Amino acid sequence: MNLSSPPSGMVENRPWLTFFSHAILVAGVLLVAFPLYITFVASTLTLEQILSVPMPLVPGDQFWNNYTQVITAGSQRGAAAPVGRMMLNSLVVALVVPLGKISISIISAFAIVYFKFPLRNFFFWMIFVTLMLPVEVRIIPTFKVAADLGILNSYAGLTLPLIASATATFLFRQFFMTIPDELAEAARIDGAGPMRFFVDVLLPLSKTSMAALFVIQFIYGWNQYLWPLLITTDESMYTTVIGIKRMITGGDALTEWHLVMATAMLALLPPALVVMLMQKWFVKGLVETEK
Amino acid sequence: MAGVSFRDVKKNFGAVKVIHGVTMDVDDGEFVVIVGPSGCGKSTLLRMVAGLERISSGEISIGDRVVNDIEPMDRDIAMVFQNYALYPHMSVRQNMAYGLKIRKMSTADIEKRVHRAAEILELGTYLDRKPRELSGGQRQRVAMGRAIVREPKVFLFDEPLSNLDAKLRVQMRVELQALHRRLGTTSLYVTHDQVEAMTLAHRMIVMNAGRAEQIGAPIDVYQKPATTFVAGFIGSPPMNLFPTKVGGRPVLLGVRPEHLEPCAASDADYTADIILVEPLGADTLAHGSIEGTTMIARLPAATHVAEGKLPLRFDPAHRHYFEPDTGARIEV
Amino acid sequence: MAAEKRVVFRSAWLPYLLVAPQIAITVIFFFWPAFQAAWYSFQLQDAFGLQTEFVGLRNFHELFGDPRYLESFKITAVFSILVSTIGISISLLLATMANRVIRGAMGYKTFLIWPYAVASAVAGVIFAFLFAPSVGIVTFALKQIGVHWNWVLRGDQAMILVVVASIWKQISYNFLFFLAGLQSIPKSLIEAAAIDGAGPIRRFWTVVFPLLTPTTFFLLVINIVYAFFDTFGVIDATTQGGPAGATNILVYKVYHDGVKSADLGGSSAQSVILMIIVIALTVVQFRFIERKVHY
Repeated sequence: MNLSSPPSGMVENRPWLTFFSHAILVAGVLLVAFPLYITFVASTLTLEQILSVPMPLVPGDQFWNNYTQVITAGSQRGAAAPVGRMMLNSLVVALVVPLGKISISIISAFAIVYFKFPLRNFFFWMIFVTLMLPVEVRIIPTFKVAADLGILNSYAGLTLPLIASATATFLFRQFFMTIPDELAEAARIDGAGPMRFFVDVLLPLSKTSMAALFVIQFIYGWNQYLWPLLITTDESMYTTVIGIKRMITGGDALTEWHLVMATAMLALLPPALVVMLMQKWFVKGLVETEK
Repeated sequence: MAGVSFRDVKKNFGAVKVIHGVTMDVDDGEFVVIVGPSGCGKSTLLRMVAGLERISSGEISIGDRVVNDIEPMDRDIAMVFQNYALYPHMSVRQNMAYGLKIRKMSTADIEKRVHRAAEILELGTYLDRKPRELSGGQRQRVAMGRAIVREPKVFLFDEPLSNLDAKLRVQMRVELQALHRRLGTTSLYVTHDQVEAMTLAHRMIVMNAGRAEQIGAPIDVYQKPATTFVAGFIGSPPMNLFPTKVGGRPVLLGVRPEHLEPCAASDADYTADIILVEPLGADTLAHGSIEGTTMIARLPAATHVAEGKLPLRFDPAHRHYFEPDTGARIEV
Repeated sequence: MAAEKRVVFRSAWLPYLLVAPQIAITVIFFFWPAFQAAWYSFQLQDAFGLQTEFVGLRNFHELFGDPRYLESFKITAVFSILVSTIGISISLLLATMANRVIRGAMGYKTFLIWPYAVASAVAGVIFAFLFAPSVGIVTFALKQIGVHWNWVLRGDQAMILVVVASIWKQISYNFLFFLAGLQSIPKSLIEAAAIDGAGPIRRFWTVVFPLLTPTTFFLLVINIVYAFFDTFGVIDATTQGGPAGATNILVYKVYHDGVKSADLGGSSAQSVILMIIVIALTVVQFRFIERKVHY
């Protein structure tokens, strides 16, 4: 699917229809952006300003105060862990998950596509079946495994269970299937063994697939919720997304909304920037991993 | 350099037999073309020489060495693929050097060989380009360059010209001939195009359904096809085959289109019903049938024929006879 | 899955080494726990986890005899139908419009896709704030037009809240796939319809929409899966299944019963049922993708 081709919808010139289209799109963009705008505005106000309903609709002057407060110290009433630390944890997860996933997926796809061995189909189906076992359906036993392995509250615990992925393996398998057989044959005649072929030919050719997958998995890793919620009890191991939830202490009036919203901005900006700046890879990754 | 010999080489994929036993000796320096329709097993035969397919039974030797169990890289061969199989992310230079690098040849020697190949193939100015920046013909040359730098005992070509347009194909055919004359390397060349086979081969193997139907010099094959299949496959338009009897025995009489001559009705061997006349410039093709069997006659350009009855004489010096059941040639 | 490479490398040990890391993680963190979930679902455990007793299908019997569980099924169905149909309709409208305009199409796209990057829990927190009963700006606006809004007390409003937050997050995904689908429709088809005299709206329903059927169906499956599983964060950050179970979708109930109430057997039995649902959805999805290959 090519997303950069010229629009095919318009065949004749109807100014009112074009105007109508723009109007709908602008409305869509505004509706989609409205929550973000309010979040940003709230993150620059004092709690008193937010509590004086309705809150102001233009940014206030507390930007610096609120953000330094959450990054260095966290909220005052809820969890008091500094969000800076949480962002570091999120970053670790968001980098290790895609890198780990790409590494183990590309080598297993390589084995499954380029080797014939007795248990090949069995392994392929094993990987395929993981699609049907999302963390939600095996919450407690998986937690127990992590506890038995002693990886609760650790980076290993946060990342390892997330790096097995059928979709990534499928993506690489799909890509390898499009590489002409003759390339592997030429490499064999040139004297390249399997690993040499993998490193010299397959890896360089897989660059774009890897980049696309990286963008998608960065977002996936950064946004993980249920799993970190289960295995982190130590505030220093919270990810940003977990941290923000823990800041909501209960009733409306008790929550420090200005700090929660500043944390929300910090939680959503890195992945949103990745999506917008690496749009090309993002779209490619999204469309291809779902094939 | 070395010859290649096949000793009753067979191949099956599971229960399916694809090669039924080919025996042949390719001489040192010889250019042998394996020709046949798609699915006849010609590529499989070549790939067995390359070591890309296992040999089910029989033996293939390169020089004095049986290569059945030898890895492709150790067989001292080089191969040119139909789709060129150039490494897309490597420059022309890197493509050619890759095999040598793996063999741990010194950088200086690699450079020398690449330059020589580039010179022979006139690729000098393209050495730092990527394959996608080259035309089809240039890519084809790089693929040949990659084979040449190896200085192998045997070149293997798997339909190397099929992806080129007609004009370029003719040009590359000529270049290939010149290259072989210059290097003198033993070559095995697979194609489905009988014109390529006729023009390039010292000897050709005509294959059909996993069997070598005939092995011989192109002109011998053309003049004395061993089976009705060869008679139909080599030569265009194909040889006409008419069921008839010789001495009471049913046979197939084969006559090439150019050996049918219009004549007076009284001299005619047969009278054809012509339904279509195609003037091609150099000659004229007349399509029709004789006693219910479709036929084509190739007539001199100046001949004026019309649709309808056409009395024809069959050149007695160029008549071929075949067994109707087996299709084998018989001498009458 | 049948497609194969003609040539393969041979090695007695290398392929095993290459698949080992993935298989190890798969076995340790997927198969073993899933197997255990199935095992626990046939057992009854006391509150301290000291004693277990094999009880056969009793957990399942109890589950299906429990009106709250059946209610959760119903809620999940309503929730996923609302999220997928409304989300798909809005996205299709936006994608069709974006496909029409030449000027600014890229800009619209950029500003429509970013919510994909927002974690569902963060989306939940933001919407919880917008709709907060006392301080929310939307709550305030609704009050001006006479709507009394308090999702903390009212189940239907809680449902609306989680539906809106879930749709908001998923619009980008649907939009991108619809846009790609629209752009792969040959322009000549649209032109032929225009020459036949079909106006833009008629063209859409008679030519464009039928050609988008595969995309729409694909998105329907994906959106249902999304509503079933990926909205956990939205629920947990807003209603936590409440009020009075009004937004207690199946996934949230598994979590709640297992983690918060420590009902191992019951939660595991729910897991097993969820697993069956996932398997069914995956089969549907792959059946469809197989067809898409031939399409």
